[in-house]
Amino acid sequence: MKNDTPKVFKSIFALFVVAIFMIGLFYAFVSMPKGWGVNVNNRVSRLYILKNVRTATRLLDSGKFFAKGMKPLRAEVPYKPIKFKKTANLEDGAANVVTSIVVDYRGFDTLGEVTVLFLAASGVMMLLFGKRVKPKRKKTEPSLIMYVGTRIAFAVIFLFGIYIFVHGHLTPGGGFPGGAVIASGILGLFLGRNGYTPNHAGLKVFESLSGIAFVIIGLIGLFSVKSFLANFLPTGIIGNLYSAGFISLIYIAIGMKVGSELAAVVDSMIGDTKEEWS
Amino acid sequence: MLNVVLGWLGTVLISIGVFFLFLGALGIFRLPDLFNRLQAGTKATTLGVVSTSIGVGLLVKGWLPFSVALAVFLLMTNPISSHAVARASYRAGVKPYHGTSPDECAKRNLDFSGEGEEK
Repeated sequence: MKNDTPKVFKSIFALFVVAIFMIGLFYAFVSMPKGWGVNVNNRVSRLYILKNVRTATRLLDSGKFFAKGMKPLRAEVPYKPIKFKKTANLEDGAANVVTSIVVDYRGFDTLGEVTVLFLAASGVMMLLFGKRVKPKRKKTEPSLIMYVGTRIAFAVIFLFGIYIFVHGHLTPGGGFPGGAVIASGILGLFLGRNGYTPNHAGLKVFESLSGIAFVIIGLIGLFSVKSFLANFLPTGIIGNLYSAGFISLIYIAIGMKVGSELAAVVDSMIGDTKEEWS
Repeated sequence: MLNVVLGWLGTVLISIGVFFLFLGALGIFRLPDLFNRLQAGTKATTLGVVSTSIGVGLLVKGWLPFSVALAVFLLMTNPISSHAVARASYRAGVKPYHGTSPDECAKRNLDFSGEGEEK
């Protein structure tokens, strides 16, 4: 919207957007199944109540929980020990089980987490938004040791952050801690130089591109495997760098997004601003 | 044979590291002011952590590159961070312990009110 549009149109537009959201929420609320309309047995596995793997396995093998004519599936699947760097074509070839749960099995939830982080960052930036002014108090110049040391340390920290999120499917870590590590390196640059500002446009472009990449990867899964955020790449051999399908792709996107977001938050918290209401 | 030697070497290094970590903790309890405590808390623990991590790298097969990288990074960043903390606290007006007899930093013509640059 341009600045010279009358205020009435702006208000009407805002009301329209809010009304669409309200209608959508109302529809979602109405169309939800009622509590008494849900048969819990359809939703929760009856084996879940046993809370004991051994008992559940025995009951499954005896075929008590199956209809007549059905055989227990476990009898047909042979037991196969998983060997590191040997076994191939697992359901999800990630060596790090946490990553395989977080990104593959409940990837939609991770998309929600990224959205929450994005909302929090934009809230911080909205609160601290204002015109940048020169501070009255002169900042003292950081010492030479800090200047040189943070520059060297930034390279090492940046590399380590990238290592964390590229190896997310092999070793503990992943996109969120990797991004936080990168943002802490940028915080070190802030400490080491007076008047350091990151490239704001670059940060914004990076963040948006990585967010879009996440959704696009999900959409590719939707069109090729018929499910949003489904693994559409070959899983490979467990333990190799090129394995586990799209997990490393998604973690690269998440790491870039979290790193640029947290760097922007740090920047908006450190910069001196003056409130200005239009 | 090599494994035994490496194992003993690693154990000795870990013991030295633990001893220096203990000295660092003791110094943080016993020393009088911020600067002395910083000395104990960073110098002693730098040696402690470095020798502990290298000892673990010698003990466990295949961890040596990681522990050497960790040691190099600690040796690089630990003095810088302690320097930054000490400098910031001196500038913020933390007075040294009265037993610190030659306060060399006060002799330099520094403006510590935060209003100007170093002269």
